[in-house]
Amino acid sequence: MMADLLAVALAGTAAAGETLPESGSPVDALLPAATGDAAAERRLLLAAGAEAIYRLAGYVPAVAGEPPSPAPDESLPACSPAAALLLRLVVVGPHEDLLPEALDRLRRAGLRLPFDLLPLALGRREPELRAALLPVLGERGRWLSDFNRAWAWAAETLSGDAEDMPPDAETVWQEGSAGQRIALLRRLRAVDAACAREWVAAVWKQEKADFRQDMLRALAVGLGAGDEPLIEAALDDRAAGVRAEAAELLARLPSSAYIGRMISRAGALLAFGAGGKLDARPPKALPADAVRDGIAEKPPRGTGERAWWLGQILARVPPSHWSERFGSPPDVLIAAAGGSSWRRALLEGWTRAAARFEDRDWAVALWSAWRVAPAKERQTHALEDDDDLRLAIAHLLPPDVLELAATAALEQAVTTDDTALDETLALLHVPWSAELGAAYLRGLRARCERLAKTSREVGAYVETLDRAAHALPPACFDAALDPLPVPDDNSHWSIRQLRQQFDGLTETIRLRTRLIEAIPVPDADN
Amino acid sequence: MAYTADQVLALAPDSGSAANGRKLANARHWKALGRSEAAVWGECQGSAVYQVRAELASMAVKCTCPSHKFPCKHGLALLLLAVDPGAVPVAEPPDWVASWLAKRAAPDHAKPAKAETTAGVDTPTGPTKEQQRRIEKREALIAQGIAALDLWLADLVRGGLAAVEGQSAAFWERPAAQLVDAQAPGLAARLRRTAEIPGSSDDWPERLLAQIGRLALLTHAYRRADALDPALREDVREMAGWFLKEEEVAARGEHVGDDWLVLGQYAQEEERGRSQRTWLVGATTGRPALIVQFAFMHSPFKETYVVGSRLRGELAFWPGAAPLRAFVVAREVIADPVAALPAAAGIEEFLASVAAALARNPWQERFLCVLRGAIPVYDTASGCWDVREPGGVSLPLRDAEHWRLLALSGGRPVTLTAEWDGATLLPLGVLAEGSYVQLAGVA
Repeated sequence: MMADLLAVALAGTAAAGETLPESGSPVDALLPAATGDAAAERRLLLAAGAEAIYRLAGYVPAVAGEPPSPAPDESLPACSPAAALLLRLVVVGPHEDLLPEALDRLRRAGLRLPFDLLPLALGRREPELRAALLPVLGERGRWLSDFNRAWAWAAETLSGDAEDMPPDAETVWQEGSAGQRIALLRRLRAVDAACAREWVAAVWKQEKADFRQDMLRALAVGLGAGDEPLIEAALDDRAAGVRAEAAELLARLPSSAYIGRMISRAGALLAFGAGGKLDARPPKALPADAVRDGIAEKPPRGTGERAWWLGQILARVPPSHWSERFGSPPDVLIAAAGGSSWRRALLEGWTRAAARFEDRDWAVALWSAWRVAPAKERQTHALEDDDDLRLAIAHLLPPDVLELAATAALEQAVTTDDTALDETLALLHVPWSAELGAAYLRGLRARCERLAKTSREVGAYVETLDRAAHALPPACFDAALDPLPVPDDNSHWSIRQLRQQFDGLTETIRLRTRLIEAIPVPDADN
Repeated sequence: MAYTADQVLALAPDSGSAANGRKLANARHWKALGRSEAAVWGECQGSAVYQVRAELASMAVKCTCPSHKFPCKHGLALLLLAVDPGAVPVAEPPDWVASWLAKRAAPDHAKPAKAETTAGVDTPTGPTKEQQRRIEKREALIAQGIAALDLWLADLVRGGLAAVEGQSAAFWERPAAQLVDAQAPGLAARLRRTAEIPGSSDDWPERLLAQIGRLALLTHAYRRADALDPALREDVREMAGWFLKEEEVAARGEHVGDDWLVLGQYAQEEERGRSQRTWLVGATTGRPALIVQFAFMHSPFKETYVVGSRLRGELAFWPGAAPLRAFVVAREVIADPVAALPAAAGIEEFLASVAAALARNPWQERFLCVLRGAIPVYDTASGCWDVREPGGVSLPLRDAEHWRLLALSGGRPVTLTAEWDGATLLPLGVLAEGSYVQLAGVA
């Protein structure tokens, strides 16, 4: 046996003696002829070598158990080989930036990712990418995710139609992973909200704080008046995260006692004063019941306490309440508050309320108000905050309002250095309309032509080329690939930068052209 | 005549060729037989008349038949006939023989290789006196080197392998460097690979003993190389360090024409550079071939082989008992990629072929494995990967993650190509849904 030879070899022939064990294999018979009267060390080595080869040649494979069950058949067809090739560039790099668009096309075309890209796809961590990946992983992707704990997110969407509950729902709810249980709860909410609520109530006390918070968040699906008692009780939870989540949910229930309490708090806050001026009278101290309702006591640095409280309370009152109470449309009320020293807090509170209650009328009026904010105010407050607030209501605006704003910004940026151009474009739905795409390319060219005549500064456009490369619609591709009228002057860094950016745009547009050809989406204009 | 019938039959690519050669080694199948000092020739009646010629010094054969096997049965038969000096009349070589001999002697065909790299066996032209002197000098050096290596190995075993773990790199490097000085670079490389074993896994003592045992068998074989089968002698001398140049391989090695499927490829860091191994298999012959390339530092490899592509052409194999290493003599790329694999076997059948190859060359370390009906499995509890047949017979996969293989197979049987090192399989590629996907060497 090899083990006997090994024992002698490990100890050394000096210690173990010169008598060698026999291997017990046919190799023994061959050795005397080969080794003759060689020393013990040599005989040991030759015996070990022969035994090693004998065992190599006589390798006996292990007999393992039955393999795990194979992946179910796919319901979605695979994409074409050409598409698979492109997807590889996009998933593995170097064109990761096109991943969201590629995945979206794949989903709309009703296709799935090629199998060999699944491990890389499952390894992605970005939540928005995961959401885009889920519909294109196919059965194989979900099957595969079972073998790697880091990929469990893929199985958290349960297989089958969103409307059907899996047959083993009760078992999953009792024994599944946290992710699976929440996924199941969300689905049950969509089918039978009351039943889901009973499930939550039954386990509420025994679950950890994080999971209680996750369960509350799941109740957002199909939220209704019947949920109020459970959520109201959660306002007194010992975990701050659960209390905050409960306040968020109650603030979305228009008929809740919570909203009623907010309206009564707000009742004394706003009043018309002399000369049609709308003014605010924020509380001087924050009552305990307001704290219970999720109003944070301590303001962030740079904001006064009273303005902070005012903003938070307003943010939880449906804006329509004000239109009805004062009998005036939003734009009139906003204008009337223009002279108030609390103007900024009022605008912020209303904007957050418009976003929360999805009030389109108020959103349009507030959008204009933010556009015309006095220059002084724009300087004293960080611009990012303004943009955050505008972003929060941008999705409530009719597309033409946003597009109008963007078109104006594009024209303006031809002659001036409006640094907010990229931020304005960021609010637009992607892909852009053909009209906006044309306006963009027109503006970019006009700016380049000015470069030759006046200055060498490229201005705000240079920051937008990357965004445009991903947002331009296919109808604009040909025009986008036309060379830019840039002066032949490499000495200026800003022109070099523009050239570089434009090369990047060209490459992205070319790849998008190939993606669109390789993954055709039926019944779509692009 | 310097060779025997046994030596001729040892050239046969397989037992069938040997048997057919024996059958044709009868003057009644032949016309216009003749011999000179350098060559023997004749015309053999097969499905057509084939012109067959052989160079006596090298036993190199050329035949006009279309067989992929080399040497073909006609060539073997001619050499067998010539074993008996009386069987073939002395004559003046016809043109088709004379021109072939002249071409073989021309320097652009078989360049007179440097003595250091000539394998010390008969080259087509035969070594010059100066070359012969250098070969003898090198033989003496290698003999000394081997003697020193054997002593060092004996010391190792006398002191016990347990003492080896924790030895510094110099412990292994000193004898390895001595082997380089003794002009036995092949043995030096083997010893350096052995140095990586101690401490590398739980079963390292057993692996180390197996490795130095095989090294001892190699020096044993080298010492008595003259008694070995000529083909195995080629292997043993190559392994010691008498590396053949491609010209020598082209002149003396077996040439096989086929559609060669490029199955897999991987690169490894080496001292002062990188090596790359590319596995091919012949579509009609089913023969495996291994192309090894070296590149210094960051320079690229000389030839590019695209995994999943097909090459139509001729390979020249390094001479040996089970020729495996080869280089491409002539090729054209065929448009269609690999869509089906020849010579796919079940696990037991594959292991039997490994045993057969080891019987011819006991030192072979790598085997091409084309498995059909293999189910890749990852056991989450143990963290182990293997491939299984539906009955459960399994082979372990090399220690790494094989997620792409698992994704491509989906737990269903696939045709898998891999490299077997005697303990684990390194997956090279997989045929799934009608297309061949590269596994090794891909992100």
